[in-house]
Amino acid sequence: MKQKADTVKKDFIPTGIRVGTDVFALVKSTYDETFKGWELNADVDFYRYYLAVDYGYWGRTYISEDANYSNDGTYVRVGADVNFLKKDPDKNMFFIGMRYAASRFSEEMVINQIDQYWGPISTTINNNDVNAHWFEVTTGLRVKMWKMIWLGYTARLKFALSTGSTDEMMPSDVPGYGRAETDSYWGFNYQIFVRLPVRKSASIPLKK
Amino acid sequence: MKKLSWFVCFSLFAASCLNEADCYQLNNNAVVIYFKILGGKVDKFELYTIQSADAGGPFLVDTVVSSVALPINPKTEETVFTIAGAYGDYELPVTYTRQVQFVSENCGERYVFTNLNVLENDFDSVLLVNTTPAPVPVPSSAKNIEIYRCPRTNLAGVTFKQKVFLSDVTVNFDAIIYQPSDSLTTINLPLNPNDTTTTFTFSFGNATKTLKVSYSKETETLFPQCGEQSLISNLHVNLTDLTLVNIPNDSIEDLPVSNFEITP
Repeated sequence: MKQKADTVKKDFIPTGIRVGTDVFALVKSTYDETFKGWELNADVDFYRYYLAVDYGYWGRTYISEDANYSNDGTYVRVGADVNFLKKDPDKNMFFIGMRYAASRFSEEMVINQIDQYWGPISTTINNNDVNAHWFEVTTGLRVKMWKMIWLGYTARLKFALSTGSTDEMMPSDVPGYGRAETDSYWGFNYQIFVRLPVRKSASIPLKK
Repeated sequence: MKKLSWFVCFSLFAASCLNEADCYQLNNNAVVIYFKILGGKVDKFELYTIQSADAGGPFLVDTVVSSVALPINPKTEETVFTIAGAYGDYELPVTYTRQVQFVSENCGERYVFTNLNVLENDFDSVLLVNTTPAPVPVPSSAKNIEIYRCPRTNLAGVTFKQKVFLSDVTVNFDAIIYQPSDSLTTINLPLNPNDTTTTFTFSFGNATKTLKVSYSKETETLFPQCGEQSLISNLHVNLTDLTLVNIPNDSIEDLPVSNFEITP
């Protein structure tokens, strides 16, 4: 007699929404005088696939010997993750995903320098309402710590940045991305989530 | 505990990836100019000064160069270089686009220059090779502009057997003589392109000696922008009170070769 194999029925109806924030951004904002930022993260499950959305803000302030720079702006990421721990009873995740990200920001630079040949240079340059977008490959973990509380990290490889610039100024730092002249960039988030269940998930058979 | 170890592990990984901008070769504000002779030879440009009215001082003074790297003005999008050479004064106006970018707290800002262009100028011919100015320090392969001049077909090379103190040297027609210093072993002297003889007068301290040379000449248009030029050959000494004059090469080349070897 043929034995029926153990299977998990594919159920694409979401079982919960996870809402969280990037702890690293919040902590960094307290000790790093050059950085102010926060980020909200959310995902929702469709079987082993997750729709992920991030929204964040960051601003930088740098003071150097002959130029002061500041920027601020918001960014949004939208994408999907694939969970490779689909049989985990706690719905823990090890995932790989993709994101499309976009940022809108403004920056200002105040230059006060003395050029070796051309003498004093004193000027203020602005780059207002600049749009940027890029793509990301992501990977990470989501681990259930206690009841509705989850911890996670996301490592992201950001690439294919496209930014606008004015005739006078090239973007230096893109909120959500990082240094504008870098073709690709690593990023990390350390996140804490609250998972809000919307229905009970299908039972997962135990291994014999 | 096992879960916590995941986070510690990746925290260390993240910290190891933090990077800092490189402050090397931030600005590409150097226009690299090569001096050449029409026909392709590399020139040796006898230079008094190169400067710009907006700069605090000259960029180069009293030297002979085949190439120079000149800084462009980050305050404007045009720089006019004034070049005072042994055989003429020239203006070289260049335009460019300029953007500024903040790099880091350590490096400050950088200027990015592009779209270099050469405006109307006084040189015989100018070729724009690369429209992106070079970074500083300037790489050896960098080249933006080639400046060409017409061949000088009447400059004879004079070599003294030993270093001499030459307080003055003149010729018997209206001509420019470039004498880099009083104490020298070589000097280039002009022959009259409109005549077949030229007389040089050398002042060695208290002693004055003359050298009258004769030659044959024919006119030819080597390059359209240079017009007709006299090509000089068959040099020989007519009259002199110098101790000894040899003629190792009896025709004129540019750059000059040794045409007269003189023992004062």
